[in-house]
Amino acid sequence: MQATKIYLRIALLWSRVSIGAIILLGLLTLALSNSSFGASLGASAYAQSSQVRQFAVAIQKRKVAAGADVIRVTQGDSVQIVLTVDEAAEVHLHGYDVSLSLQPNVPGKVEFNAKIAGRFPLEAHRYGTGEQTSHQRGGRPLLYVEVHPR
Amino acid sequence: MPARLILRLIALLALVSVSLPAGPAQAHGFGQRYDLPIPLSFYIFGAGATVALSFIVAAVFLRSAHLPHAFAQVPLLRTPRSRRWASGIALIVRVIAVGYFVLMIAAGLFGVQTPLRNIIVASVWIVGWVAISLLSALSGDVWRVLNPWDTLFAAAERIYAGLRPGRFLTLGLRYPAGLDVWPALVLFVGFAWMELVWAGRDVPARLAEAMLLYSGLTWLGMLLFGRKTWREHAEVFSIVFRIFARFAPVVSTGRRDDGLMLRLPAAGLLKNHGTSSALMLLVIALLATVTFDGILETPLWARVDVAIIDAPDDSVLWTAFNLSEAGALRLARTVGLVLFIALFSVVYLSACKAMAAVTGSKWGGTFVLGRRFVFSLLPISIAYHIAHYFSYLFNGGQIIIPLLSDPFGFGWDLIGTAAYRPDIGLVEPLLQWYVAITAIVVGHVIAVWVAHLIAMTEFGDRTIALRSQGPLLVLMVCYTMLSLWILSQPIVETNPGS
Repeated sequence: MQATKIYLRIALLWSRVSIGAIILLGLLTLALSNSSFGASLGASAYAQSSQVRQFAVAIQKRKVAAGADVIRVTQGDSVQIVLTVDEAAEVHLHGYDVSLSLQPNVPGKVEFNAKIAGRFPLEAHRYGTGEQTSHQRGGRPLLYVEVHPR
Repeated sequence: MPARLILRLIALLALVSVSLPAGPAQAHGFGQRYDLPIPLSFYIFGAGATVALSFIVAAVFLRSAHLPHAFAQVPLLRTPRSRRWASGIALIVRVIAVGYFVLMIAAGLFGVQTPLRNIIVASVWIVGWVAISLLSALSGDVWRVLNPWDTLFAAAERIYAGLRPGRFLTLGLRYPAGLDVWPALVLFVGFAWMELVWAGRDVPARLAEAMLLYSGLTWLGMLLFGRKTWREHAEVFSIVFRIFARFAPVVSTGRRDDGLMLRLPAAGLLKNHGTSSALMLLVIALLATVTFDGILETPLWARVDVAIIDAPDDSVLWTAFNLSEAGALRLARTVGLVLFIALFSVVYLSACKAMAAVTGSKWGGTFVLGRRFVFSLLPISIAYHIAHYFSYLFNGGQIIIPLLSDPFGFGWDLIGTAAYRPDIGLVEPLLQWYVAITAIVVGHVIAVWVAHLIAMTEFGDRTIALRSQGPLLVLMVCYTMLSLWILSQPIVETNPGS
C-alpha cells in the first residue's frame, strides 16, 4: 500500500511539472503571436509565397568587400548569390551543399531554393589554382546565409 | 596472465597506430550546426519567465518545502522474473556496447580518415558525449551498462578466476584516500580540452589512439586498485555520467535483489552529503565546459579568433612563441577553457561565501556550503545542454545511420542504409527555439526548487533557509541568463583544425 501511495504522489508531481511546462509553452505561443516578430512572420508567410532574391557579393583579399556578410532570406525563397572574387577560389555553401569554382573577376552564381531554415556558412575551401594552391589562413567562413522560418 | 597479454596487445596496437600516417585534415568541419539564434521575443520571454518564476518558487515552495516524498523511491522491477529479464537485457547491451567499441577503434585505425565517413568521430562526439550525457540525465545511469572498459575488465576477471580458482586478477592495492576523485577531475579537463580544442578531435586515427591510450590507463588502474575502486575515483566517464544521472528519474541501487528504483527527477541532487571538494570542483568544471562550448561559437569568441588571424606578421605570437596560426587559435582556446573553469569556481565559491555570511558561522563555511549546494546548479547546465544540442542531436546525429552500414568508409553497405542522406531540416528552428526556451526555464525552476529543498533540510529554520537563498538565486539567474544569451547569439565558427 505504501508503495502505491508513493507512486501516486510521484505521478501527481510529474503531472504538475508537465502541466507547468504546457502552461509555459502556451504563454510563450501567446506572447509570440502578439509580438511584432510573430506578426511579421505571419504576414510574410502569406504575402510572398516564393520570391527570387538576388544578392551581389564581392570578395577581395579573402573577405567580403562589397555586399552583406550575413544574407537574410525567408524560407521558400529562391536565392541567387552572385560572387565576384579577386583570386581563383572554390566556394561551398554548407548545409545546402552547393559548390562553385570561381575564376578571378568572373562573376559566379550560387543558386539554391531556401527550403530548410537555419544559418549556413559560405566558405572558400581553396584559393588559387593547380600547383600554386595557397594554404588557407584560418577556417573562417566568407559569409553566412540565414534562412528564417516563415 | 590474460591482463598482461591484453596490455601488451594494447601497447603493440598503440605503437602500430602511431606509425600510421594521418590523412590530411578535412575542410568539412565535423560537428557543424546550422541553428538560427533564438529571436529577441523568445529571449525576452525566457528572461522574464526565469525571473518571475524564481520568486514564485521562492514564495510558494518555501511554505510547503518539506516534501518527504521528494526522497521517496519505488522499485521498478518488483518480481524476481522481471529482474532476471532486466539483467539479461543488460548483458546483451553490454555485449553490443563492447562490439561497438571495438568497431569504433578498428574503424579509426584502419578506416578512411575523412571525419564524416568514419564511424568513430560521430560515435565519440555525438553518441558518446552528447547522446549518452543527455540520456544519463533524462533516464538513468546508462553508462553503468554501456561502459566497455568495465565490461571487458569484468570479463577478464571471470576468465582469470576460471583459470586460477581462488586467485584474483587485480592486485588490490589500497587506493590513496587523499587522491579522491582528483584523477577524474584531471582527466575530465583533458577530455574537455580534446572536445573543444584538440586538432585530432575529428581525425579518426588520433581519436582511436586516444581511446587505446585511455583503455590502457583504465585497465592498469583497475588492475592495480580493483575495478570498482577505479571506476568510482578515476574512470572519468563513469563519474561524469553519474553526475548527470543524479538528475534522472531512474536509479540503480547496485544491489542484485531490488534492482532499479523510480524517483522524482532531480531527487538525486538532494542527497549530497559526502560530496568532496574534488567532486565539487569536477561538477563546476563540467558546468563550465558545457557553457564554454557554446561561448566558443559566439561572435564574442570569434573576435578573439579574428584578432589572432589578423595579427601582424611581426606579432609576438609568431616571433617569440613561434606558433602556427592554428596553434595560436588553439592556445587561446586552451587558456580560455582553463580561465573559464577558474572563473566558474571563483564565482560559485563567492556566492557560497555570501551564503555563509548571511546564515552565520553555525552552518559551516564557504566550502561546506559549496559542497552541499553544488548539485543544485546541475539542472541549469542540463537544460543548456538540451537547448544547445537538441537540433544537432537529431539533425547531425542522423549521420550515424549511413555510417552503421559503412563504418570504415570503404563503400560497404552492411545493413542497407549506406545511401541514407541526413535530413538537416528534421528539427526546424521554430521547434528548436521552443524546446530550448522550455528547457531553460524548466531547468531553472528545478534548480531553484532543489536549492530550496537543500536549504530547508540543511538549515531546518525557514528564515535562515530563505535568507541563504538570496546569493544562490542571484547566481542562478545570472547563470540562466548566460545560457539564454549564448542561445541568442548567431553561431560563428572558425576552425583551427584546418
